[in-house]
Amino acid sequence: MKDRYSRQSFLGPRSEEMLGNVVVGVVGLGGGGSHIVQQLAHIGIEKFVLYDADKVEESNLNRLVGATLDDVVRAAPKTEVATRVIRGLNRDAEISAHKSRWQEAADDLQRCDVVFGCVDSFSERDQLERQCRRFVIPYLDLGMDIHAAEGDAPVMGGQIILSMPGEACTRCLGFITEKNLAEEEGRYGDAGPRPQVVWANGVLASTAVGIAIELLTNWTRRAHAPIYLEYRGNEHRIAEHPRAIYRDRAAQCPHYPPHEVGETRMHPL
Amino acid sequence: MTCSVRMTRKFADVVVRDLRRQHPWAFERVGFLYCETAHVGDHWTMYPTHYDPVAEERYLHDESVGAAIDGAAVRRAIQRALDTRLGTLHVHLHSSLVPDFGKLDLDEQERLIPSFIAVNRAVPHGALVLFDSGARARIWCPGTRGSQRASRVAVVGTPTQLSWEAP
Repeated sequence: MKDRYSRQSFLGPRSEEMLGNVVVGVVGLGGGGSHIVQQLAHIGIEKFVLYDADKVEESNLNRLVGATLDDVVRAAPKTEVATRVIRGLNRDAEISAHKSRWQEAADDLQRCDVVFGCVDSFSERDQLERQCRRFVIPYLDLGMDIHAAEGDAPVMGGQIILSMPGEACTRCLGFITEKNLAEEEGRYGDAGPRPQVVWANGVLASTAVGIAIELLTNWTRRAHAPIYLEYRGNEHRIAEHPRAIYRDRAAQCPHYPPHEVGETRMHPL
Repeated sequence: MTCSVRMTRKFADVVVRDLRRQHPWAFERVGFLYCETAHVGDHWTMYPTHYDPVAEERYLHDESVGAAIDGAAVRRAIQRALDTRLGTLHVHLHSSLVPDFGKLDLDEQERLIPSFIAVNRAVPHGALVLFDSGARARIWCPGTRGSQRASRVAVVGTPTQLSWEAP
């Protein structure tokens, strides 16, 4: 084991080799995704598939890990910032960075062993989970939001969901519903900038990375799925969501049948 | 051309549980996996979705091998590959002391797998061996001569188990 990983030897004797071979996808390299790529590079992930169509703006500097004033001036792509952060820790990392929406380079996502979704909308989450299910890839969704409450302090919340092929999905867990997809569609173009802060992004990203590493190394010997955690930012707490606690554990996911995987094709009648 | 295999742990557990059942006279069990596929660039991925165990009575009394199956079992498997247009993987188990195909496995695959290719050349076919600490696969990809080792076999679940070939 290399000296740089000696403090994480508890992950198992083959963990260094395992983490070096895993292909990790990160969709969205803003507040959440920038934390995630940094942590993955620290922990020894060497193969990345990255997606973000955006460039760094001044309003990103409150949370975008690795971004600098110079990146704002140059309008540097967020993929460039993420690549720089990874390369600063591992010059030999294999990085496939797409300055586009993931849908425009969806084939590359197929080779991932785990995908982190750090996207803003239910619709984007739905599409990304659908793609991951079709190609049998664990999908980790994370997000945060702040709701204004009249006369009260704003309420900071968020979620981390592990959607595992063969297990309950985000629809089974009641996170993505036709209702919230329709409501979101109705608000199209009217959402305004979403509140985001670095510490909440960091808590959610760190927890999601922890879940992924547990999944890949089984160091706790209690890896399980699905996972639905809710973040209560005002209380500085993360807890299992009631929908995960009280779900029907014997129920099969009706949204993603096990045989609907691989390329879509015509079936002979 | 490279290739890999990805399946859910839930599916793999069903296969392993069935293959672990003791057979009245054969030393081990074998089966066939039928796979959806995806082809991107020069890489094929096989996604096993259906498992067909070989029926009890289709095993031959042959003590020189772990398991020998008769022609009817092979014909049934080939027919299913033809009917479904799915890729096929011959599957069996090894102990973790033998974490790969043996010479006899390789020889038998050379005889068996071309029959599946003959009925459906559009998708990959091959063989898979599962053991406690991982898995190995040998695949015949469309448009290529001979077989190759799967660069990766992923059993996706909690935990996720990845087996890869050294480059």
